[in-house]
Amino acid sequence: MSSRLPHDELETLIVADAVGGLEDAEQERLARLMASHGPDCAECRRLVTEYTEVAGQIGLLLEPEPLSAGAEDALVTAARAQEPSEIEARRGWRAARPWIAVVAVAAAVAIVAGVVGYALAPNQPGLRTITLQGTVPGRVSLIYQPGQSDAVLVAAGLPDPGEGTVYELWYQPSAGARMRPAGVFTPTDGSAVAPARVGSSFVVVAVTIEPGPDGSPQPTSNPIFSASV
Amino acid sequence: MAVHSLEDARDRDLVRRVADGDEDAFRTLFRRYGPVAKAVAARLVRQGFMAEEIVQEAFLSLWRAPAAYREELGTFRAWLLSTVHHRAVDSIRREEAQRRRAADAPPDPVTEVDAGEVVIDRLQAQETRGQIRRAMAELPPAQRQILEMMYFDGKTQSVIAGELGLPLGTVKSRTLLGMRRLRASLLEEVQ
Repeated sequence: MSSRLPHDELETLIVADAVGGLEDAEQERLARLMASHGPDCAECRRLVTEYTEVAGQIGLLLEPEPLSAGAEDALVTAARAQEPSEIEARRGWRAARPWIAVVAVAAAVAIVAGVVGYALAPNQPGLRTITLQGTVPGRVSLIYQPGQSDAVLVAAGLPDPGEGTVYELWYQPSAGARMRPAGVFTPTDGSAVAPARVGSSFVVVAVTIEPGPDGSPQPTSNPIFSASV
Repeated sequence: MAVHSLEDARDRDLVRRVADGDEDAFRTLFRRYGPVAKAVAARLVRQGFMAEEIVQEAFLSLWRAPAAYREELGTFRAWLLSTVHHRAVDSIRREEAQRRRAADAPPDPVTEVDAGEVVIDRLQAQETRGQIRRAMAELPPAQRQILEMMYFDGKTQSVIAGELGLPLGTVKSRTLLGMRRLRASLLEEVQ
């Protein structure tokens, strides 16, 4: 691939970008060149990696500056306030109830077997599965435990959400309430098994397509999957 | 790029833990790299509180989306400093008026505070810094000047060409040659 690519020109731009020397228009040109060049180009990756490393080392010439008192706690407090948060979902995934891991395995097996939405967790007492109705191809199901906020979303046969966008799950805690974010997911080969946080109770769940990677605090498009509880 | 050191390996482990929502790992990374990241930002924006805000935003971004750091693309330290540097550069270019106000102020004084455990191990930091100083000193002055104006002052190649009265092509070629030399000096030693 590199034989048909202007690596000299790319290197000139990559170098300048690494040290912050490009105008906006040149940054856009670099992005276009690299995209047309091919995102899988190993030589480009190497150049970006190595010059980023060099630029980072230039920064080490500066003496570290002490952070203000309380900066660390303020940061962690701000991090905890990040809602919706993939982190919250991840934390729930790893640390919360064991049923999630069991369901995840069952869901993965179900996807392989092509039975998403059917009896995903037959041996887990207290769990419920709700299948969302869609306006696009694919199946989306949510496995949850009434009274608990942890849930698992399982999807199969979904179209790609599009460049720079993700699927986002929402729940409505009660009739008339605003929709609350429950997590984002991006399918791989159309399938996804993702942790979700739906609140302890909800009356509607829905999926929209939102800007990636973090999704939106409020839906910005019409639901493509939804279900009432 | 290969993992250069135990520090790099430790950082990568910490980032993986952050991805699992581990606050202790998040705090450790912040203690280790917050001060040097703040120094990079402060050099550009010239205001401590703004610098700290930029660093906080960069770390919050990591907390929200730890997958943004990809291990195959180099060390966490370089990625973080690059992220902070770009944010700081964006900040001063967005707020030219603010920059003009700050331009009369001297750069923040060099901090003599012992970074202690809040930064990478001090001995290693000194060794690394010494290596970088030597590599920079070995650059032809014309190349070093341009790299410093870009990295530490946040100036674009076009602006530098104007200020130095040089053709833009000359600035570009000096940037490239300078960075190639630095790459050879700094990266070959660890591979």
